[in-house]
Amino acid sequence: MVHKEGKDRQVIIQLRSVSRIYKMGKENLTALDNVNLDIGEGEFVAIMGPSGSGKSTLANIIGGLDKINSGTVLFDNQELNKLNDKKLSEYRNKKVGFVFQAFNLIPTFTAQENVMLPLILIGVSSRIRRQKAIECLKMVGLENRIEHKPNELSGGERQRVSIARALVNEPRIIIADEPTGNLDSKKSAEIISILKKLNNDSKITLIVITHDPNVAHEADRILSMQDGKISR
Amino acid sequence: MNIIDYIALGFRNIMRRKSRSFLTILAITIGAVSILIMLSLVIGAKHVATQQLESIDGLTLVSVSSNPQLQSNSNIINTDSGDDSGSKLNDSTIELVKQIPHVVDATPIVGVWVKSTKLEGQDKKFRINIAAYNSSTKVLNIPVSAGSGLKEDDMDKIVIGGELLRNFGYAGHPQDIIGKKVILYTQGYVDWGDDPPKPPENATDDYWQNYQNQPHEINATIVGVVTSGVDESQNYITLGWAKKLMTSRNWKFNDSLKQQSEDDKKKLEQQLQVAQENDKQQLYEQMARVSDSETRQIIYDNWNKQWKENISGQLNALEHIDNNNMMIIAKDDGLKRNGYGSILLRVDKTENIEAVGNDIKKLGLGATTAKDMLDNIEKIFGLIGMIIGAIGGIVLFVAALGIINTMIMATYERTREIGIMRACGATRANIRNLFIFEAGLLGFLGGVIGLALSYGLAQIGNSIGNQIALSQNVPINNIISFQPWLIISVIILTTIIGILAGLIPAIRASRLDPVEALRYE
Repeated sequence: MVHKEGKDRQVIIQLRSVSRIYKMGKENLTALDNVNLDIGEGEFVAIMGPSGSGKSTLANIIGGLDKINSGTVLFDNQELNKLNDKKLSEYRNKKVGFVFQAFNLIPTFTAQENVMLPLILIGVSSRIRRQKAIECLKMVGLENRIEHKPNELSGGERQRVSIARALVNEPRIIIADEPTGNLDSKKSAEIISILKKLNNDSKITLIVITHDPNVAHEADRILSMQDGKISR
Repeated sequence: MNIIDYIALGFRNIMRRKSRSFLTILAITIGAVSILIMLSLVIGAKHVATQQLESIDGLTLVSVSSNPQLQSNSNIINTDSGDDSGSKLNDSTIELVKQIPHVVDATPIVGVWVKSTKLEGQDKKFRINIAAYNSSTKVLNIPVSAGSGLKEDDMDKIVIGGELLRNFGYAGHPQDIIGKKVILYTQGYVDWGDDPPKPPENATDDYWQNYQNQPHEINATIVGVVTSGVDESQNYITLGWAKKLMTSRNWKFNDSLKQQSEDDKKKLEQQLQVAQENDKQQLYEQMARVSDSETRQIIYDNWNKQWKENISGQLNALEHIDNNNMMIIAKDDGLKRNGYGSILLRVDKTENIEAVGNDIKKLGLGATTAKDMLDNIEKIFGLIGMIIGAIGGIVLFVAALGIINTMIMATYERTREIGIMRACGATRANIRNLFIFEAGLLGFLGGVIGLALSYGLAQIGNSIGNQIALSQNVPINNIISFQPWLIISVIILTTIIGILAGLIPAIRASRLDPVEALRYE
């Protein structure tokens, strides 16, 4: 149980003595150094820190995109580090939604197709996945941009497509790595309000890495990282 | 992920780089085309040869030659000329061979050589192959599509084949050429038609040289046309007429008469010498009447001179008369001299062919069966096929390299995308399969386009092939035919090649670290 501002939450993510070390030639780079962390379901956590502090690494590990060298990562009390590629991919597909700074949309897909991608990967039927994609695009206010390709969309619209994609499989966690990094302040505010709304309405756990204090301000909790460690 | 989605995505990704994909596919297409055409040639040749044999009921035919080492001909109706070095095939050989068990009947096969032919009323000359056989035997039944065919004792009648029909311009309406005449140009005079002209008395060597090689015209009436299935370049006459056409006629000195005249000359010479001896009595009397020796000498010399002139004058006169009568027209029966080129046998059942063949070999003769011929054709085309197939194989191999290259480039270009897909929950297998399907699709498209192209080329190739085959006297036409199993196999082959080529790049792509991939610019 995590007590935060009076709300009781179930623990959804647990990190115990997690280390991630990169081998760079002769030297070892320690991205995460013995990290311990609990995140409650439905929590909105902001992670801040200078470059190279391990923020992205932490996010990637929670999202099952990166492997750890020692320690344990638990999702719903299930050890992620023991999962094989198939199961881990399933975790990413169903439980996690990623939002990236560079949007990371497939340039030859329309907005709808980009949103459908997680559903295509697990073989959801064409009719159902089209429908779900449209619903998610509506949720982010892009019902008029369904057939547009990324190069026909503005930065803010692209990021909203990313969010729609992250939502399409009804994940438990959304991990956003500098989601407003490439956007102006107006668009940034829009994005953050969308995320916040999702967090409030659907109780999706939100983990946001950011430099922007305005963004961090909206979070339930702020984690500061330095040299692979969490300080407060 | 659905197979349909894999294919759809694969296709879309191929379309992203149209020129590159086109070139990659083109290489596979070229390989597919060469293999398709090659295999079709081999299949078609055997099919056509079998078809031709069956049209003359050829599977129970055996061709006998005097040379036991003979390599099988390309045609069961073997019109090669007799081998006058070894044993001859003649009528007694025919009787001998008919005694072999299971042999129904036998006919000689004779190839008649003429220089060229033309249709009466036309100017253009064509080459012509003529075969003769005994049509009263139960061996061959050449099916005519127009006209009545040859009767046993027909002279100067001919049945023409499809090639001549075409050359004369009557293709498609053979009935109209029945009754028309062809003109055959023989080398020298034969035992048919006009007599050779008598050479002048003081004929030079040059005259004799040219004389032998004068082309001479022989007329023949077309009584039938044969087109279905059989060797189109073959034309037929009766055996009786063939014999006449193969007998040359020339003016020659009659040796026996010549001998006779020599004898006569000698006799006359002797007679005159005796007469001269007898006359010596008178000479001496004349000489005795004169006293001085000079005058006696003159009388003697005069007497000698007179007698000399008398003798040579009479001898010359005799020669002059005889020379005129000493030339006759001599016949040289070529067929008798060389024997038959081959003998064709009909065997009662296909099962007995081998036994008959062995019996023929025991007689010291050569035997060629329809099966031998088919095997030979298969061998020849098999060899050609293998060579072209090897070339096609090399082309496909190089094309596979092209696919590998294309796919490696694709994985580099789409590294980031791979990361995105992995982040969205794609497994390594998903990524791998995506690229394998793409590569397989390249192969598949190459095969399909190759098929379409081959079909078009086959039409062209068939008409060219027909021309070549006819001029070489090889009985083959419309040699390229497409079997369904062949088409499917080639497409499967190119698809598998695509898949195999894409395997390594696909596996490489699947092993990319997602975090690294997402950072890739």
